[in-house]
Amino acid sequence: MKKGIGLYLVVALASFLTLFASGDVGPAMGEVINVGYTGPLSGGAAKYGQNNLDGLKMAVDEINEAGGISVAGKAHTFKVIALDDRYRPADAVTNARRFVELHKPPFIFCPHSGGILGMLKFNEPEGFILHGYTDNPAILQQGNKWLVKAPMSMGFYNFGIMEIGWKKGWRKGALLCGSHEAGKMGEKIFELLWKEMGGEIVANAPADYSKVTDFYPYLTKVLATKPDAIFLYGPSEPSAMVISTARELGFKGGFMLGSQCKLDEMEKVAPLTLLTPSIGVCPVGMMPLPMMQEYSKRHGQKVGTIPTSESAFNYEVMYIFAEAMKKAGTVKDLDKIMAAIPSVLPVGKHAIRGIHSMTKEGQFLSGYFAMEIVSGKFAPPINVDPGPWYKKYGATWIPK
Amino acid sequence: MSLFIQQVLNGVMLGSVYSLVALGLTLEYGILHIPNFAHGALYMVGAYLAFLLATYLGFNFWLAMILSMIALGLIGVLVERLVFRPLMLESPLSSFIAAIGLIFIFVDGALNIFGPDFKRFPPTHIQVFHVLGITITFQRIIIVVVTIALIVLLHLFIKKTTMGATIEATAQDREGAQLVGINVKRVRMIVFALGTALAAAAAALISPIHLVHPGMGGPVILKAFVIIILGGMGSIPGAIIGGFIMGLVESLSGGYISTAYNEVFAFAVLVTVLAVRPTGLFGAK
Amino acid sequence: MMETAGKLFSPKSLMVLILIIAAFTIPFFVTSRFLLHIMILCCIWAMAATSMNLIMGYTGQVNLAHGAFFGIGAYSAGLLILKLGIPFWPALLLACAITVVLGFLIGLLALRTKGSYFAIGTMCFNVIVTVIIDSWEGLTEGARGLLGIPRPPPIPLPFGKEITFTSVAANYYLILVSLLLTILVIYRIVHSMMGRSFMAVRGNEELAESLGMNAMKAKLLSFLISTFFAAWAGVLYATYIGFLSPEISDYHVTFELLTFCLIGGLGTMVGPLIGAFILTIISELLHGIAVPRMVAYGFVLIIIMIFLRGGLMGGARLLWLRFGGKGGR
Repeated sequence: MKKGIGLYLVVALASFLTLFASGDVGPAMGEVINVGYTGPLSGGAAKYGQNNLDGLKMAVDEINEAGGISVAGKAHTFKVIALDDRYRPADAVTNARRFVELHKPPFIFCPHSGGILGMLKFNEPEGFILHGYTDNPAILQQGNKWLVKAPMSMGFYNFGIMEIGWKKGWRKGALLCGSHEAGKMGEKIFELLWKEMGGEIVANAPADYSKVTDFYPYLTKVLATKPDAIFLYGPSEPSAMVISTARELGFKGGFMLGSQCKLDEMEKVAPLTLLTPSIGVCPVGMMPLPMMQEYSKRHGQKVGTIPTSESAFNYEVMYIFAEAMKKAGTVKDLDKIMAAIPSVLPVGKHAIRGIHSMTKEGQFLSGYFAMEIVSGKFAPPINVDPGPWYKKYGATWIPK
Repeated sequence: MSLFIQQVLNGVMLGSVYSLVALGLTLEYGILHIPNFAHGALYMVGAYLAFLLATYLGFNFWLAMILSMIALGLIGVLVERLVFRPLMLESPLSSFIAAIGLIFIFVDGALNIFGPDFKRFPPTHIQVFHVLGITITFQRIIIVVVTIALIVLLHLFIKKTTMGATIEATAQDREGAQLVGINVKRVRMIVFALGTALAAAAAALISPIHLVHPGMGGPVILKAFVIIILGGMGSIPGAIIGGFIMGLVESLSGGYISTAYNEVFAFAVLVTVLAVRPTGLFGAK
Repeated sequence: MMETAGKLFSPKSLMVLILIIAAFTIPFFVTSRFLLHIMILCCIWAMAATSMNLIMGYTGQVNLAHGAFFGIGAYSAGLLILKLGIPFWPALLLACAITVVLGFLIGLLALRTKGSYFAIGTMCFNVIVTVIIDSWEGLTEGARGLLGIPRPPPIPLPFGKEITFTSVAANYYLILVSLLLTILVIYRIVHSMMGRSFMAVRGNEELAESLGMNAMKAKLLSFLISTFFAAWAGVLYATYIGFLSPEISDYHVTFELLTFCLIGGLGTMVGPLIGAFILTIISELLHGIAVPRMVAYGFVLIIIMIFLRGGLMGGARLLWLRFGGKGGR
């Protein structure tokens, strides 16, 4: 048994040492700036994780193809190092510490609040700026000076949809939201805001969109209360199935689709005639902004899929970081880079999501479009003015 | 009243799918004592096979289902031979870990090959019938009918054929069976292949109604284990009845209590049953 | 006297001593926070796996609810510290106590079943616990998660100095000491009469009962001890990472711990340790290889299970015997 343990110790030690040498480029040496990404690239959230990464990679590739950036007279290119963290906070922390140890990135991107919060514990002593892609405003309340966050609050993204639904005369709403974190938040927001407007919630049937095999039991329950419209909050394709199933069951009312639904992805699963009438967030690929249209085309060519909010925001944030470095004249002084960020907004022709300013906690502000599906077609996007929302709720409100 | 009947019908349809999966699992776990936690992952592979056959080769639903059953049966033979046979004499826990390894391979493999998005099976048998305030689609009727047919076929196979008798004998007493000259290895192979083929059938049946994605096996396998324990290990009637109970509990508790926990209700039911009858409803003492 | 001295200085205890000294001195020559962080995670999982090994390996009951107790311990501590303002050390003990009480209730119910029924029954409990943590938002903050759990406060030392827990190294020591305590306690239990009663139940429960043993009591005791240390490991996780979400009690965690135990070698003291360390390291090493990482991990699991019967410790035993070592432990 001794020899066995001895053997394993040797193997373990050797493995530890090879962790240092495992296949990546060494620390940034002045020409190549490393950018870390840790997110779910396997398991249930893999698509979400991949979408985030796609945008980041596109930005880095484009910047490099254009010759990189010139900071204080020196040319620099970027390199993305991406690791899977299985959506686990502990793994995200491990990946971040690996980045810091081996690659010294000034920027790390992470799309889940668990990982973000884990990293906020040591990004200041270890020296990196974190882009936390999440709608959870709690990350901004940790008092961290090197944190930015692109997505706005879910309340903001969903209120415009409800206003449009209200204008259409819908009054009795039923909730059929996902039981995941975002789904529960969506449910609360729908209920709160709908009732504030004077509407009624006649049924509530949360469903685990990833686990449910058949939506008949849920819809049967909901449709028995004869709602005017159903609020859905879940991933695109299952939401489309819910709608398609509801039509089977004879439902003729409308749908208000939470911000997680990407209408263009839904179209692949259920024809627009079934999705009529519904209101959702305008998919980024359909935003009537020339810069976004260009991005959408390039995204289709390079990545092979239609772009999403996840890829668009991370793309823009990477450009913001790059521009801030140029403006600050340094690739190492993170305080200077952070301070330079507000002055580079919006980032010219790469401001595809239109980030125009940043709050002092690091929240990037931008707008969005809502979109209706009417008579079997996508209606023209409706610009949602964030003004009234900010005035009332602020950019980071979530219901309790 | 029609609401109640609709929910009962929903539960029956759901129960059919669960029964088929549980049947397959009880063959693998109850008869062969292989705690094949990868049964759900194999179910997912069956769904993808049917999806590919229907979408890219344009096969109709029935052909896709049958071919997928055969293909998954063959995959089952491979899995049994390469992974579980070497572990036959070890503690079942070893097979359990090997099954977990298989899950990683299948699920992550599917993720990398097909991508993480949800795939839509070509809509089939979409005629909708509205009868007395109840809605049912043709595909849903087919699910229940095919399930009953497969159950009957399985029953006939086991009770009326020599191979079936061989399987029963091996299940009751492996050494005894070997003593009378039964090729136990061949029996294992066939039973496991049957198990996976049933999983493929369930997957093919439900795919037109729902979506195909790499993680679709996860929730199903948990429920399948609960069902076979509820019904009693190794009991085929137990797996069938347990499956339908599971479907009905899910449907009715969702309809009348809360949909948020309707899946857990089934687990709570199991815990309660085990408290009263520690060997399940039909399990041997 | 000489015999005791002989035991004290036997090759085996010398080896253990060397390992312990090495473990304590690692932060002096490994300054990489990254590697220390991995060591910390390994230690936490090793604690949880070692405690699981008591009920599973030594008492023979396949308990698939272990992750739930890890999570309950973690959440209890997090809530006690954040919502009731209880300091770390009392919160640690309270959290373990709460978990043991819940373990008692669950165990009382679950241990009436045996074998596969016990396994699946406990798995159901695991799922139910995770769902409760996820849904009871008023208590646990639900899926949003519990954030901002602080590190343990500084421990005052004489001469105005103190031990602070801000550095990774300091946390490593805290968790290492916890792991060693866990191993020590469980080792003593295993080599005591209590341990023999556990193993008797594992061997043949009916036989043990017929010899006058109270099998239920033995199983329950083993169950409770294992939940105590699982909770402790959970508390350490909660205060180290600082953020908790319901997934930390998920049955996937249980399966991972089970994998550590089996790959390492069930029913051996060292097995869960080796399993936790080696698999965590392998998982890290598999980053960035050509084949998808988790697919490779799956293959590793299967290959180890098939070719190393008895896990890594079993394989080590074979190697030892093959190279002419004396049999027995």
